[in-house]
Amino acid sequence: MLDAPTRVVVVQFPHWSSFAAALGRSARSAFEPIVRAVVAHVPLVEVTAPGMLVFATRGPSRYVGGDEPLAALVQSAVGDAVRATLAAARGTVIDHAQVAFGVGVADGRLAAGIASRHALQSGKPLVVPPEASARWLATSPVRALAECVEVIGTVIGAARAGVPGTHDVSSYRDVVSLLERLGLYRFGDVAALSEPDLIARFGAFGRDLSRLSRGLDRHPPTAVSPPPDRVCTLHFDAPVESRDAVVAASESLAAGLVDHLAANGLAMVRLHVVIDSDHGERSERMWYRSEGFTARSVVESVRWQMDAWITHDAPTSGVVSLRLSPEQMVVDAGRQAALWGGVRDGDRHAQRAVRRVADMNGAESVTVPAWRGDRDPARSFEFVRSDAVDLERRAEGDVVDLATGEWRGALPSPAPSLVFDASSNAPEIGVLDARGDAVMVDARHAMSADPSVVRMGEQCYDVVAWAGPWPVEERWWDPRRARRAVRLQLLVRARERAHELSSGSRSIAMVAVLERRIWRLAAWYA
Amino acid sequence: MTTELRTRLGAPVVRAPLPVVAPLSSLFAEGGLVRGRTVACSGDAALSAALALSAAATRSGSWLAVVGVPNLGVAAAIEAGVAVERIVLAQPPRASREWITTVAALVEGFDVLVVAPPSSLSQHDARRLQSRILARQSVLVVVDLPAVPSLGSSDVFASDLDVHADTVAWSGIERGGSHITQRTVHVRVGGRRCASPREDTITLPCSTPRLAS
Repeated sequence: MLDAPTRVVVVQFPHWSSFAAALGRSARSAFEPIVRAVVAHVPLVEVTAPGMLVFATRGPSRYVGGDEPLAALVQSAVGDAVRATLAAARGTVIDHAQVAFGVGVADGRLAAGIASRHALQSGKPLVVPPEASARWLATSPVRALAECVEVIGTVIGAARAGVPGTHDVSSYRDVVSLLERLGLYRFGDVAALSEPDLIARFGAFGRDLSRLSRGLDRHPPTAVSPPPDRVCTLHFDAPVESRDAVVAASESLAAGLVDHLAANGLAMVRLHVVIDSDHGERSERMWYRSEGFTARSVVESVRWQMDAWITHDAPTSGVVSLRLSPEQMVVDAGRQAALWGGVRDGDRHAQRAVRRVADMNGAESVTVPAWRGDRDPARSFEFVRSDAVDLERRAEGDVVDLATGEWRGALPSPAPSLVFDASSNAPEIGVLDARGDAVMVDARHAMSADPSVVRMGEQCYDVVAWAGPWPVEERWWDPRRARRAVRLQLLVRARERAHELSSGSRSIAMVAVLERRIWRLAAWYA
Repeated sequence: MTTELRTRLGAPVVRAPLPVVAPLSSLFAEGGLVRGRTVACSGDAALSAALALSAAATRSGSWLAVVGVPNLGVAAAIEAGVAVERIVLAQPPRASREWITTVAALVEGFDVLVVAPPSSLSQHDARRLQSRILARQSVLVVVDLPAVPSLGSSDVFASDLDVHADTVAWSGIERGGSHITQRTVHVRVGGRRCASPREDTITLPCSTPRLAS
């Protein structure tokens, strides 16, 4: 089989989890209507994470008459589903930036992922012609890797494979930072390097990086289709009515399948799950994990599929069979266990508890902080999905890299205990002067008047003291991503309401940020 | 042997209290957090106090789960002395039953849980969680966060200890100058498992920031 990338469509909602949080629903269940809107036109859609859909154009494109009509069809179907979701949630305040999405079509998952990010900004689907895909990717910045984690999968670097001596990379942040320090800013620069050199520098991930930069998919297409004995089916003696029973039953089936494949040195990256009910109803879905499925992730996929089926189709009888068929395999790079220096019982217990919770509510509901570094207090740490990190290794202390407080322009210590991201969940507040006008800051960072009152919803606070304004100018060289804001640290005192007894009016400290003439709450010292 | 016997009898195993950092430990009669207990933190410095209370435990190998605090400032946790490699953040669904199921699953693996209860949490579910905490010998720290809408208060829990932390002074900040350099907090520890309330005025963060290797 020719080693050519699959032409795919990527539909991406970058802020899906914050949107779901604003709706007060789990990211998964909120995403289900979107999935179904697309499945109505394209049967086998890969759901990689809430907010991310991928499918091959081959069949559907021919059916609707080309990539452009397909992209337009998907754009309108997803747009309708989003509007329906918003209409159903009337009453909750939703920032429309949270539901922005992009549809990208290109050869290879990475190129399509980047195309969808571009489409996000223009609001129109972006179709990269087949012959231009590789050239287009070569001119894209390597930074895009970090934005396409869900499409291409997490890094499996030298650290995880247990290769000593190679440069450890545990996240795309490391990869991008290393590439940029080497002077490789575009994928074309990386593609020009030889694969052995990349492997020497990046360990196991070097091979994937080389393939990705050349516009290929991370895993070469398999020449042989999986033999039928790897398809495992579980028949229930009597129809099973309970979701949990089906999920529990899938656990041993999944473990058996994954072990069987591992014994042959293989791991599956694409899995087709089919569930049949006693009345002949069927739910089928394609799942993708570029880092290879573990028994856990298979169970999680089954649970998601069962949830979706029960809530939206309401099957009329119990489940009689469950079939797992691996559709694409890769050679399993394996994972070397530590020779000594053990994992403590406590670490193992914690890891197990986290997995259980991830099974219940979705892996994105349990996160671990990873330092990223930024001036913005809400962005100096990113929250990494718990299934993307190895908690046991993390507990040994070798993966966490912290250099807190070293970022110029960051908030001074003591750090606020609650932080709000200006782009997603920061509440709007009013910072007013003595006359009741909003305080504004001019181009020279001088305030129009001293702040006197802070209004948050109904509550008014009197300003006792303030520090700043501290200017924040970011990426001024890039008009698209430039950010100009002003921060103000405020010490306020709640204004007593007439009917309340004096609660010993205490001072509260907060940080407000002014951006595009709107004041928002950036941090709260709780 | 005794441990095994106690387990068979269903009695909780008595384990040493979880350590607490120096200026706070003197406020606890046992010198630390007694396992199986529920501690309610209130006051304007409730979250900072909760993080300070759990810091020493994480540094001695315990895991900390922060549940339902949507915008935790991780830098503040690190300043409080929390070992960041043993901190996990969970955002369970807000409905009472699902929330409690999730937290109960976390109790199995975590020694310390800092939770901000949702407003929907029923007293019945809260008490069920507490009995789970007692059986598993973890410590539940409930924080009041009135600043965040849709969060409930710690009243639904029958707390063993009440920690009230109020800021009495912010130093460094003026009208238009400098910035906050230090926070002085008055902490009062009382409650039904506390024979005589103890109080002290301390500065936060009370330990020096620790950088992971």
